[in-house]
Amino acid sequence: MNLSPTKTKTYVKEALLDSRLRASVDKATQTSLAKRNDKKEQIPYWEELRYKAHSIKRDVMEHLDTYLETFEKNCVSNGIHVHWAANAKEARQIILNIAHEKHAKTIVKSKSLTTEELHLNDFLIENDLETLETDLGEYIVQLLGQIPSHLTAPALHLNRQDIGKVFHEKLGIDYTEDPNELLTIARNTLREKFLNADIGISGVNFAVAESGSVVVVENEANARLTVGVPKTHIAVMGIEKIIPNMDDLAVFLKLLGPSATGQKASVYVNIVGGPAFQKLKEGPEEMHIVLLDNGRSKMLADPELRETLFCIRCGACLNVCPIYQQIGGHAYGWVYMGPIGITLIPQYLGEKEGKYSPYLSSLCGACYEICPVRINIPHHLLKLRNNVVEKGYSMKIEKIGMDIWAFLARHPKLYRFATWFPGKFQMLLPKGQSFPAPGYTGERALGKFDKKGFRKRFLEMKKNK
Amino acid sequence: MPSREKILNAIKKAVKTSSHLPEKPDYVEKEIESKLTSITPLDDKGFKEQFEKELQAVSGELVTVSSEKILVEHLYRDMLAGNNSSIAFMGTDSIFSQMSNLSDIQCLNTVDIPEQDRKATLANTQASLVSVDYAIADVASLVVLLDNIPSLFPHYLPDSIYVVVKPDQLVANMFELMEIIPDEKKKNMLFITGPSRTADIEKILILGAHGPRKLTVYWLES
Amino acid sequence: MKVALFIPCLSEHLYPESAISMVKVLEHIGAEIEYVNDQTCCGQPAFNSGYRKQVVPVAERFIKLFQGKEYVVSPSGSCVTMVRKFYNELDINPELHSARDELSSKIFEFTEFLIKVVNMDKVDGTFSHKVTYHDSCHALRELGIKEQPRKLLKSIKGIDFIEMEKSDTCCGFGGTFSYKYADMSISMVARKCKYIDESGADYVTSTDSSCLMNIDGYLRKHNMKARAIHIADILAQSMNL
Repeated sequence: MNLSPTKTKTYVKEALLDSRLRASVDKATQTSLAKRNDKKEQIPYWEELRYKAHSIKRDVMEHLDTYLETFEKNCVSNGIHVHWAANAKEARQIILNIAHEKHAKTIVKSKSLTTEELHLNDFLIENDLETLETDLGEYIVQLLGQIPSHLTAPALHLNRQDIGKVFHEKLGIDYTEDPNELLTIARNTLREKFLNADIGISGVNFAVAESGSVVVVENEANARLTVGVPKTHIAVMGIEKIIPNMDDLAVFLKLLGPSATGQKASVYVNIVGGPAFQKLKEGPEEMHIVLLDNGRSKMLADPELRETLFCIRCGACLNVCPIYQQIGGHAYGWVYMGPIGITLIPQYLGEKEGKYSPYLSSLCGACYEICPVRINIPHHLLKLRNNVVEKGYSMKIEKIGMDIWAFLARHPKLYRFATWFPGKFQMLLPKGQSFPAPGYTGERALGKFDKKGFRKRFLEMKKNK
Repeated sequence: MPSREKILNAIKKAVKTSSHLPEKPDYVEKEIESKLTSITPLDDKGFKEQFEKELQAVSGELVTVSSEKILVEHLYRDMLAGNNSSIAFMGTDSIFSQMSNLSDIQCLNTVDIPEQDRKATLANTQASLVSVDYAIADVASLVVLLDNIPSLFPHYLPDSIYVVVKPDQLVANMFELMEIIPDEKKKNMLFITGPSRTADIEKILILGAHGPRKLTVYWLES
Repeated sequence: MKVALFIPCLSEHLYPESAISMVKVLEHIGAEIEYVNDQTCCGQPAFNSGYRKQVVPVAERFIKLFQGKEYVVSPSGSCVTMVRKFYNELDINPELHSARDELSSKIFEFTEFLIKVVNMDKVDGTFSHKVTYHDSCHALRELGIKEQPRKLLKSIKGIDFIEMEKSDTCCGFGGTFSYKYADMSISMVARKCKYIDESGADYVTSTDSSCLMNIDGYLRKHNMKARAIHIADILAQSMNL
């Protein structure tokens, strides 16, 4: 699936015309949102916890170098191999080298957006490694050759018929659209793979500096099987995933479950501090952690935009976004989607490629209101729009327009004169018609320009008194 | 320059500018504490009720038993009702010996299975009866410390998991849990909250994704 | 009590009647009204589009123009947000910082002013219609205006106040968003209007003319029953001002 955020405008148009997609996304987001609100209501200290989580992340980002060094030191003493990757290419090569060293043939993967950032699956498959996504949603989108359309519900854009069809076509089974049967098929196919895979690759929800452990949160037990069964476990994480200690983990786990899937607690929290074989004589004999920068240290340099690194990828901002609710994730054209996606796209890919993304928002602020770590997304979008303009990627004509506006707005007489025109021009239109505004009108009428305007009316009113 | 140094240098440079981000209001810690207290049950009975309610909410089942003997009887009936004929035990030795006398159920003690065979054996075992280290009342999570067990497989390879929980293992919430467990033991843990599940198809909840479909807690009051 | 009016662009050129209604209500409660003559735009459209450099001199001019006023009141939560919140984001001349901060504590959205400053707790008027309220995003999430307008509306005699589904979901206007992503914006307002229609209301009201223009434009074009009306108009009409 070759998506690009430069084509966002086209994708949005297409998505809006796709009634099947819209029905799936609408139903899924509304369900998640209702469940989230219900669980949140049961946690009376929710708002305070959001502040606390924000302050923990704030501290982490201000001392990220120290925390990473502590984390590395503790991992090493737990018997974990730590690798540093400055970019996607380095990370891919590190993982491939481990696979070669282990003479691996089959790799099972549990959900990791960071590895989507690396286009890791395609790369490993090109290198003759059987690489299978094991989260049901991820498995479905992998069969379709797509990328996830949601941070926590990868196949949210599909309905059961879509899924039945791809299982029938790709797995050669009789068509069924029964969710139970579809799951059983996936479970049986993948169980076999889990038990025989050479390597398990997982993402990381939290990396606990003080203990040298990574935390993988999930519901399906596929991550448990990924990190606990194959002989080698590779955990891939962005450098921002650090939290200081286990007390902090309790804070984030409380927030994550309701925000992500509307659960008070996710089914499995896997806290892994070293290869299990050291303790259990089963599962991984070797454990590797890949610490990925890939643009994150650059994001950290901005004293405000660094807040976007606080994201715990729960997807709540997607579910609540009146735009995402109607178009789903692929329309955003990249691995990260929705409100948080459009703050990340220009930061990761640059303002040129991401010039349309920060504008795909009405700035309504529902994302900030719901964010469990209080990322002020609308605020950051405003800053990112300014960056697009400053770097010269806004439309020339718009810039000229803004320059003229700025001049007029400082010269009230000229401003009044300029704004007097539409009102006059409107009188020439057929009765009842409103002024046409390019792009705006069509499905909705523009308001009518008043012949006099407030100022004149007000002054007249005063005079008559 | 190696990537490690490159990344760390970039971070060191980046963090020199301090955040222009809002700070946590002063009242936060105190409010969390007092609100947390307000929803924490007052006595043992309240804790158990909370745990049971939350366990049911995540599709788990709680069965109160007053002795191991009654537990065995219930387990036996439940196994037969679910057409299960094999079960692995872990950390529940005396129950294992009582169950082993029953001829129509194949009973295995995990510690007796050779290490290299465990994966295959447990993947082909239908049920397990396991112990845990703690249970969390306000979310119905079960807590396993890897330091205290010979294997994790019985917790997630079989389809039906039976867990023995004793009243003194119950803690109020995850904050309390983190205070109780020694740091060294916190490095490797597993929290389990209900049977595995997915809602990846049209948000329809289905139990038993890649792990157990059924989770029963025996609340052993003796 | 002296109140200086801040009349945003849409109110000046498209919806002056609503601003006049606001003036009438303010005069009715005994405020002394002043119109700051050379006011233009607060700069929000340019700011929201990313043109901060162009906004700075406009904002500086605005701050100077309204410097020293006892109160500044506006029929728009969004434009008040621009002045109260977003002027802090701009590289304003440091000499004007204290004036900016002072202005941000003196500027109020109309209903917020009535409740917070004037302590008005009921409207002595009659408006016998079915009315629903749309939460404008900036008013709701930046200024925390949620209960104030509802409280005023519910106190009017004869009014049948009903909540629509998802009153706090964006109407899709978003300033320049409404033409940059016009299809998206229209799809959002369509959904909003569906909720309004389903509520059975005769009128949908709000604190902001921008949202109301967007909503009304769609309602009219699709021959839906409800009409958009600014909350200042309801208040003024109910009191026969």
